[in-house]
Amino acid sequence: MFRKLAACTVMALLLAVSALAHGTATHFMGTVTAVDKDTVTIKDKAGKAVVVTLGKATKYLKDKKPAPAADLKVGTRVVIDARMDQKTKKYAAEEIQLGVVETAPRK
Amino acid sequence: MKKKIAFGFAILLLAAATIVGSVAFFLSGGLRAREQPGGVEAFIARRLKHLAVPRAAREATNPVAANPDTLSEAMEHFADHCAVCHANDGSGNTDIGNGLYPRPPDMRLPATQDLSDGELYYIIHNGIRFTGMPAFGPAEGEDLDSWKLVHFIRHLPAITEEELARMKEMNPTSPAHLKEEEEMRRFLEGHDDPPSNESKKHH
Repeated sequence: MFRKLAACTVMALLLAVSALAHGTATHFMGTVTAVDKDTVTIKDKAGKAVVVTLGKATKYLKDKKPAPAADLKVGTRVVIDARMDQKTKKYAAEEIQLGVVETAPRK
Repeated sequence: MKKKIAFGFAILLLAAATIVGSVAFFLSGGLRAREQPGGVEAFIARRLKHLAVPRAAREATNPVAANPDTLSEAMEHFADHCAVCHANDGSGNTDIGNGLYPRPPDMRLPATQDLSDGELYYIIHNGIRFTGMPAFGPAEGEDLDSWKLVHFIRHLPAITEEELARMKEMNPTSPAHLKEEEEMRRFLEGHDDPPSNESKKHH
């Protein structure tokens, strides 16, 4: 009886945990409008500017293969996998997929 | 007689304090999974976990030879079954992992790497109660898949970016996620599809 009760309690707790475990991972798609050592600014497809912080842990990929951070340039189409940093309340880039470089700025 | 009454009173007081303390703990967010276990709790839990693994199991040696085929198979298995909580790189930094109490350990660090092969196998095969770690593999008989995973866990501190990229392809995915991936691929290639949701938050 006690075992059943304990098992049910643990199950309920695990379910509650998974239901409440809100992640904050976000994908941003856009074109780089500015980049410096610590941040990248993109203009997303709706024309909204989004600033994401860069860090040592940020990974850069091109065609799904590791790429140098220097490949992140103004005009590059990117998909950024970011996570909200709870301390700074800013999005921190975990992975940046690099695409084609646009010759003319997006309108 | 007086001593007995005093003793009984002390027991009742202790019981009442325990109940009040427990209720206060739970009502003040004591069941929240967002916090990390404190140092004392983590130390006690680690010691108990160590003691809970029978000595014979701790000293068991891996019956599976380490070679590229084994590692490749275990990598696929890990990406499919384990990475949702532990992350492909073993850091535990995933949406689900970050929401568990206790958090999955960073398996690249000594706290995991210093465990014996037998301990790692025992944990994978039997799970750990009161955590998010379930038991894997058949209850009876050999569980070679879990032994292969032990080899992969040993490899985690040296995992390469290329391997992580391969694992990402192996992670379980849903039709909605596949559609999103296709949308991203086309965007990166320079196509201009009609905009859908600009950013996608995942739970």
